[in-house]
Amino acid sequence: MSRAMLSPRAYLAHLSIYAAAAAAAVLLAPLFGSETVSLPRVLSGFSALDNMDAEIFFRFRLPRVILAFVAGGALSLSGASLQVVLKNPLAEPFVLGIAGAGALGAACAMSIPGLLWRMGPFTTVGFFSLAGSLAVTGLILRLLSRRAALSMSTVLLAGVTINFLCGAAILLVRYLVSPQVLVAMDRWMMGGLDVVGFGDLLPVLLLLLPGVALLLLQSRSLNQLAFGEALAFGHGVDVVSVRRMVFLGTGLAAAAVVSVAGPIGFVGLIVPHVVRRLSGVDQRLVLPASFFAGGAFLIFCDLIARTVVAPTEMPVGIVTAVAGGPVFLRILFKNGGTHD
Amino acid sequence: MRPDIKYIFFKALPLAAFFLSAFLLLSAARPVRSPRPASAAPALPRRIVCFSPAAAEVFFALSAGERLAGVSDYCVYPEAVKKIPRVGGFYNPNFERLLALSPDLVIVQGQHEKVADFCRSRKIPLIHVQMDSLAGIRDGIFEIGRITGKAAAAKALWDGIQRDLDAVRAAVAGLPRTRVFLCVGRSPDGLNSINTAGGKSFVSELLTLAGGENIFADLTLPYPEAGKESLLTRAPEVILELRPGENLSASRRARIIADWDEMGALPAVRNHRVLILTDEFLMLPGPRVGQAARVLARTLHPEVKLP
Repeated sequence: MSRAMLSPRAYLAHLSIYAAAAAAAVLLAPLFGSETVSLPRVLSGFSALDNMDAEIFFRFRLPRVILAFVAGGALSLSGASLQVVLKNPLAEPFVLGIAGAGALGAACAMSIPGLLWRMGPFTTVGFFSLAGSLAVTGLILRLLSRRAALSMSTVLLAGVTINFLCGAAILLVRYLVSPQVLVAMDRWMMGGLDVVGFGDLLPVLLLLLPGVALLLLQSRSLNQLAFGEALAFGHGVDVVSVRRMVFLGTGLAAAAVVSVAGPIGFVGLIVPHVVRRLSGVDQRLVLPASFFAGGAFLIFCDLIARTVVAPTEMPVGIVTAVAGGPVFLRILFKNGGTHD
Repeated sequence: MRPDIKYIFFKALPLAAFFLSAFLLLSAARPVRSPRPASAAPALPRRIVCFSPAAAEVFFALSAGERLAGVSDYCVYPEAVKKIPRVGGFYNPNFERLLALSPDLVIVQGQHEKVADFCRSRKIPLIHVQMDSLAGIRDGIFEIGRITGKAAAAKALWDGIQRDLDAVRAAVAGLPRTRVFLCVGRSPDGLNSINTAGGKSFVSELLTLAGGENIFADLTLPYPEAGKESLLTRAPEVILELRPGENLSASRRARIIADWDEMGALPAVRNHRVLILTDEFLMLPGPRVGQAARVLARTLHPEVKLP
């Protein structure tokens, strides 16, 4: 695992294993659910009113699996990139204050009278959450462009502080609203992936995919950056611009995820570490592999969330930690916990 | 890594000693005994603080409202209850106010640890009522009758409720049972995280009595989240969305109903039988339970005649 760069062959081999795992998850997960659907009946006709199997499969299960894949992938890819740029193994997609601001936006939309409405697939809860997250991203980018020499630990602390500020503001909102709204807000914070139809996915993908692409494009520069900023600069990497791109990409991707699924924890922190333990530190591999692995992991967690306690459901944010925590601890200590 | 012996001696042990002594000091400083003399519940308490809206309603139904010295923020019925001092809600009980009212009895509904702890430490007598089912309502009414020395009135009140419920039962007897999905809460912006009522909940009990059939009656949790796939396959004929105490404008009401269009495959949605009920007593297991049963019966079976 001490090797930094992979041979082209090893690179392809590793990447194709991750891609195959992700493809298997995307293809297999829709076959299972709280209700049994028969595949022949599903394929006999697209969502006709008399074909409940097709209705369940195409409008309720498939969009949900796809959302789980892109959300898990985006979170884990963001975490992987941020861990390099911020030089901190505890960095995760929400560390810049994105989850806090998103949650504050959602809380305001739910509780301030008159702010809550719905237009097609867009709801003000998602919209305000998005606005909050993007505002924080903008703030961080602005800070960075004002002072190019800003240290990464300052950025990290700023993000943590923003999260705390938003947390306090949410507590204030919570204190003022009625108990019914409180329940809805709590549920939102636990994260959930239940969307209906592909219409709900569209607005998310419009932001998420550019964010993901932006992050993937930075993998070569991140490889250099991992060895130290001075060295990267010496190799002709525009360090400031790479940072900016990573923050922007993370902001777009994480904001999109939070706005539709709430702050789903754990995926963005843990999956990149697992990938690095398994496949080394070559960012050209770590970034796409984190995307695939994170997507597959969240699909798996959501599968548990929607089947184990059927006919009811569990919040997926609980499952990610409960299912992933022990596995991660095992991997951490497997080789003595002495790496990094 | 081997634990470093120096580290243990110079860092860990002193730290542990510090926390231990701090803990001992703090617990010694905490008043263990309340300055007030311990008192058992007086024979007929006259300064009662009630944290349960249902129980407070029972006091007024027994014409014993004057015994209430304080009520929770959630107590809004009957009108007279609004004149009684407020002692906060579930999350923010106001202990200063509670002490100032010098209650001789505190009543809470179910688990209410904060208040229970407080009363224990101050030696204030405390009663838990469990008014979350028809049997619980009966027990609660009888308990409050006993406390207030109005056992006969309590008996009469419960008999009246039973007559009301029997009338509803008789009116819907023989009618086909409507398959109902109870929606007791969901995300405010759409059909995410829909909570329903399990078979053991009070609303479900009332629904059955009023000629409905709860499609999620097999669930044991009181208010679980309903999976959408299961909701689709269980195909309810009617969706009852309960929003007790909410004041909905016509347009807001229309928007709430329109949210359900996403699940257009449900018979209830197709046949425009998504109904919103806002009566605040629907989810309040108190003396007005007969009225609640009536509303449900009339909603499900508009054709029946109720006395």
